Amino acid sequence: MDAKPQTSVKLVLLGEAAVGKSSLVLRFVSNEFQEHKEPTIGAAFLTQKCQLPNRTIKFEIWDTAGQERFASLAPMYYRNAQAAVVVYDVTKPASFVKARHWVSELHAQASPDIVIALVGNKVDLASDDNGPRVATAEGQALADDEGLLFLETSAKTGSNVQEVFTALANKLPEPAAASAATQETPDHIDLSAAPNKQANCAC
Amino acid sequence: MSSSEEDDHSAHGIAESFDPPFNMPVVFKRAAADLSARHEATTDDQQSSDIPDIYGPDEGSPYPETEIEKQIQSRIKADILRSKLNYSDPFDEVHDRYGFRRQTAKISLDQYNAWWKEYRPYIQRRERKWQNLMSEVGLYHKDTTNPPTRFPPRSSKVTRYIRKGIPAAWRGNAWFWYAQGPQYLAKHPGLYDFLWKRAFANHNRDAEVIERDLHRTFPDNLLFANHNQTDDESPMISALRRVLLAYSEYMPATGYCQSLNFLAGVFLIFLDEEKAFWMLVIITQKYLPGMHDENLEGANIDQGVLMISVKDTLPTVWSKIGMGFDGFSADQVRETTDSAGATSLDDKELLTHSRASTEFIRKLPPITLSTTSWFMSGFIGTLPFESVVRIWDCFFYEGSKVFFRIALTILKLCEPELNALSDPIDVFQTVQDVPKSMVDPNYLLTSCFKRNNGFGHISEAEVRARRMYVSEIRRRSSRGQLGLNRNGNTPSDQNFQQWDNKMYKFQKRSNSPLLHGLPLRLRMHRLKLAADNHT
Repeated sequence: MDAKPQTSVKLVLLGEAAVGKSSLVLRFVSNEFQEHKEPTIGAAFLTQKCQLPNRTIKFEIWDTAGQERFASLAPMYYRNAQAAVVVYDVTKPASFVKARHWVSELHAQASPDIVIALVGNKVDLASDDNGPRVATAEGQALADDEGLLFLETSAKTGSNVQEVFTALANKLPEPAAASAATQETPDHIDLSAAPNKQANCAC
Repeated sequence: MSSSEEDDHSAHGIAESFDPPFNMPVVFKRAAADLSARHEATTDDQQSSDIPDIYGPDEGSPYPETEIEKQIQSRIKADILRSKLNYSDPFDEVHDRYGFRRQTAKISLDQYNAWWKEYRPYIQRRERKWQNLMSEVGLYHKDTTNPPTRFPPRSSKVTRYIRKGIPAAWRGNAWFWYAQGPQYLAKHPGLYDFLWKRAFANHNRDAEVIERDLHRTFPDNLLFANHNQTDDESPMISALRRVLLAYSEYMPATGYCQSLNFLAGVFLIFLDEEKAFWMLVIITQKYLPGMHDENLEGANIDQGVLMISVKDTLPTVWSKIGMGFDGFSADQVRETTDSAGATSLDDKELLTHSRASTEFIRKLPPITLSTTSWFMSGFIGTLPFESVVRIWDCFFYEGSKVFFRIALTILKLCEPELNALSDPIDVFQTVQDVPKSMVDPNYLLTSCFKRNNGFGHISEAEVRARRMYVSEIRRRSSRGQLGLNRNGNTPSDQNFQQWDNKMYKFQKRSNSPLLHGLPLRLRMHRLKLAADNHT
């Protein structure tokens, strides 16, 4: 593997409690899944690299607590964030309402250059006999209106999880040649071990 | 309990006496009325006449008897399940003596087993020591199998014994005793049952958010996991539901806050659910006041206190963790916003200094995103479980200062690793991950309590004074609007600067950034004086 320029990108995950924020990160970082993931208190911090053809993106991920009262801490996370993932649970319409709120708060408060992905998680649970589902078109419409990336995922099966981060990485502006990008030896994590075949990012 | 023992408690002043808003034995109906009044304040659609008086034995319960019966049955099952723990022997090859997995993300099975081999003889030795101590004071007899429910009054010997660890089988009762649980229980007999039944009958407003977290509480623990592969949940999960619902009924201002599930879960491993409920009330009202409230301001205040203590006692650690995301030191002052109103050079300098000394309290450094959970969850999930319960041994006996001391110790133990870091972002990873691999509680606690460990010993009075100081600064800067200063907006009004000014002046007079060295009463007085002058 040749040495490529590496850029560090601060990413924040937002969304209602129990929509699967931590599970998405766990799948992305360790390719694991836990059926009953403990609620995150305050925040958890993780990093993972994403290899693009001509550069490496190192995501510095702040995984936040979902309960409403922790929202007062949120500005601390999204201050200076270059990327955000707003997550909802496709089987919980209320969580989609919350996702709308997060998107408008990010647009109002966060850096104007922030790249946002809207993610509908738990598609593996969506079925006719499982109650109301947030329609894919609904998520897509919100994403189109607000200029967001949009994907439906399952942290459980791994479907589309890598793609969220690849899409974000691709959309992040490439730094000017002489700017913040630093030369670094690429990490030793064998990212190709991820079984998620549809991933086009080398993550 | 004798009055002298009560005096002993109050003399140590873990916290002021807490008086719940009503007293059960008098009339249950009055309690129900009081509660329904509080309930109405939050839900408009509920008519007061709809609120059933489910406790009154004469009126009969509107709540299905079968459901109540089912809950009572599950309570019995939970007690049976708990009684299977002997707290000495590991469950099996992969689980520890509390039912948790020995292997964690940061501790391998081999590491655990190597530690346990050393630790087991240690706890057996400590158990014998405790038995002797308790026999001497007539609180334990070798023939009885039940764990003691009363424990010896405070003394330097007892403190030493507690810091070396309470026998696990006695642990729950000792926590309960030293936290003054028996007084709460005696004052409110039957209240716990009243509350959970009421929560079921009234569709408690937090029921849904509580439900969401029940199965996410200790999913790896044998007591909580549903391991018989049927749809029936573990009786411990049912117990957790009742405790959290009862708490939400009793403390509607707090309701349910994520992390209470973990605190209650640990209490349920060591105590029956009624006592677990009272411990949850006591820990949130006396030991960690306001920490789990709607605005989490109690949590923010304690983070402010922690950051002050780090700044004072661990300057090299502070130089690493006091950083903002932007790489600026959190107590660095931005000339443009802060000294704009200053006219003379002196004023400017004064303001710069005063703002610098408190800026990090108003706008907590990002490291507190990690350390907040240490306090809210009592180190559950931060440290290995054995360390958590050893810390709680000291915490319920000595007071909330223990959490601050432990937090400082963890950061001190991180110091060598922190010093080696060049990328500021790695600081977060280190502070988050290093404690998870601290397998030996004896090392942590010895480091914490040894003399001359380099960062002084914060007293309970000091914690109170610092909480008041931080609370005052935050209150004045945000005018009660937490979002404002968390947002990074700098309040720039004149009053605010005056307050800073005053703080700086008497800090300077006392020759300490924190009014150190002044008697507590004088410090409180000065704080109050400055506050009064200000308004």
